[in-house]
Amino acid sequence: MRLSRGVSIAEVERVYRADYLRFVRVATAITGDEDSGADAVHDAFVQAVRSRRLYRGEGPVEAWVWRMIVNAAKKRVKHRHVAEVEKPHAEGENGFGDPVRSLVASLPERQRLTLFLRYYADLDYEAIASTLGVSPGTVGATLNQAHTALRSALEEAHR
Amino acid sequence: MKDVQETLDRLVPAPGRAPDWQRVLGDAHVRRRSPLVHLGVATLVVALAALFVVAPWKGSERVSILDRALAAAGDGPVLHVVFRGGWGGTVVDLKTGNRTPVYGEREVWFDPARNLIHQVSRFGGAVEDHELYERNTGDHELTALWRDYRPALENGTARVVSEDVVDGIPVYWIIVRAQMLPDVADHKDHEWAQQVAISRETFKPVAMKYTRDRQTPPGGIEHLLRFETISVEDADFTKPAPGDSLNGVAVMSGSEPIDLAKAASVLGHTPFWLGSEFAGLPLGQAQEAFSRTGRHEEMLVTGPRAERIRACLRRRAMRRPPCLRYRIRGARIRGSDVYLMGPAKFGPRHTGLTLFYGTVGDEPTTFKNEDSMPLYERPNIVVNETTDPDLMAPLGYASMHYRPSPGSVLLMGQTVYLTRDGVQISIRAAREKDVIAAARALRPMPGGAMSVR
Repeated sequence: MRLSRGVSIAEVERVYRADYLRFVRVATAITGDEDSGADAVHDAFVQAVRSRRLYRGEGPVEAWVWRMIVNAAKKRVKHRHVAEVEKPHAEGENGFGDPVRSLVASLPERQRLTLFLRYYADLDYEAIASTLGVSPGTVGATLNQAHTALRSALEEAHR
Repeated sequence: MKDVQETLDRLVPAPGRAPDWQRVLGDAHVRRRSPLVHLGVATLVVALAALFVVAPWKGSERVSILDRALAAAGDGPVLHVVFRGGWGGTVVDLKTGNRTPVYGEREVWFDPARNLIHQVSRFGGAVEDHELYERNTGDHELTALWRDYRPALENGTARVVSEDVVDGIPVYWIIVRAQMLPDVADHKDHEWAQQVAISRETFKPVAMKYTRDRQTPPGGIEHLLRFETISVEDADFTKPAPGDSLNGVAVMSGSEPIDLAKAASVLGHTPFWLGSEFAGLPLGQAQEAFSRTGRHEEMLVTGPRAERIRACLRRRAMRRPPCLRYRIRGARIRGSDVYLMGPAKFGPRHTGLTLFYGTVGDEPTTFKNEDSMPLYERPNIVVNETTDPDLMAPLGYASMHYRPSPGSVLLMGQTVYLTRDGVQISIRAAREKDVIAAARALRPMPGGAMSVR
């Protein structure tokens, strides 16, 4: 009897190597610092290797891995009891100052995650929807809300 | 969006790190535990050993249940399953009032090596549809039974979680796959699990369900009447004859008022009716129901175009962006052949009879000012009759081939279906008791011309 056993280690490795920097960047955006982000990606792939036989094949392997990464990064934030993207930066260091950084941190979680997956991971609406467990239409609406809020903050910061 | 992109780029610059796959592999396989954890594990082992001494039957039973389930799963290359559908109706004996449930069934042979499925749909044992097609990713039950069930038993990840009785069969529920996934509604992780119930007697699957935090949604249990893995030779992958499949069927239909005197000629048989009035509702109108049934011709596609369609169907199955350049609507793959649906060819006109009991008048939602429209929003009973199988679908028959035995009716919702002297009849009303009463009152229409009031 030939049986499919989830996803192979080689396939998980392929995803890891292909998109490692994008994974770390999104996880960094969620956790607030690159070390924690890299640790979250590491945790997620350890989990992916261990539970590779549980992969049902109902979507791309990448979406399955992205879910684990988002969860691992959120878990790290929760355990540290530190808000995301709250690491202090010197005023003027990036030309925008703290208002924008604080605004991104204060966006509702779904908007923030959608924004990160869209811009840092370059995922399309389908892939973001699959990762966050929402419909592609919800992704579009959520992105629109996040853009509107961010633009207002940018205009405010430039005044 | 350039401003947003630039802002986010500055907030989190691209990281400058190198991946370390060996460390991932090392941590995935080697569990580094602190001495405290080691002590905890040792304590747990001792406690478990003590538990086995106190109740040795409990642990050994759990182990043997999964072993027996694995043995009962077989190792044939083809999965053969009969699902009992959740949809059905009730057969009501008109004399005694006794009721018997009727179910739909789905018998499936699945050959993973060819990704081929042969599916026969039945209602009350009568074959309704017959399909041979390539599997897509949407069939969750087959996926769970083939990809999750046996591997979970083999690799030890399956767990017996409860005992239960399903449809009178004592069962063990086994979790064959579980994942903690976030729900955006409450931002919390929940356990989503595929569970399979095995008979405590045969150890074969008899039901399955998908649970969230161990809770089953209403109507969420799928029943299995048969489960086996068999050889390719024992499997049935017979290509259905064109008439056996509902795939590609098209219907044009309508109705128009007639004089009741023409009822017999329209039906081609002595009509059945409820009299000139029933339950306070007058016979308001007789109608000739007509239809033409057709079938979309399938066109075999070959060469590079067939390959492109295959690729597009694969993309769609993987939920990737659609292929916009190639028409794949109605495309089917059977074995090594690719088909596209062509225009429908319609057959001759078929006629039947509809008797409307209720108020006829002006329909205020139309622009026409006419007094001959059946007012369906007011109390009414509708009797449809046909001797022509091709007219059954247009008249709303739920099953094309199931016939309740003489003296009984098939009740589905507020409609009953029955057969009298070769005439297929349906009766629809707002209340169940009215359709049963109407079925009992149904009688041949006396000959001769009669006028409708």
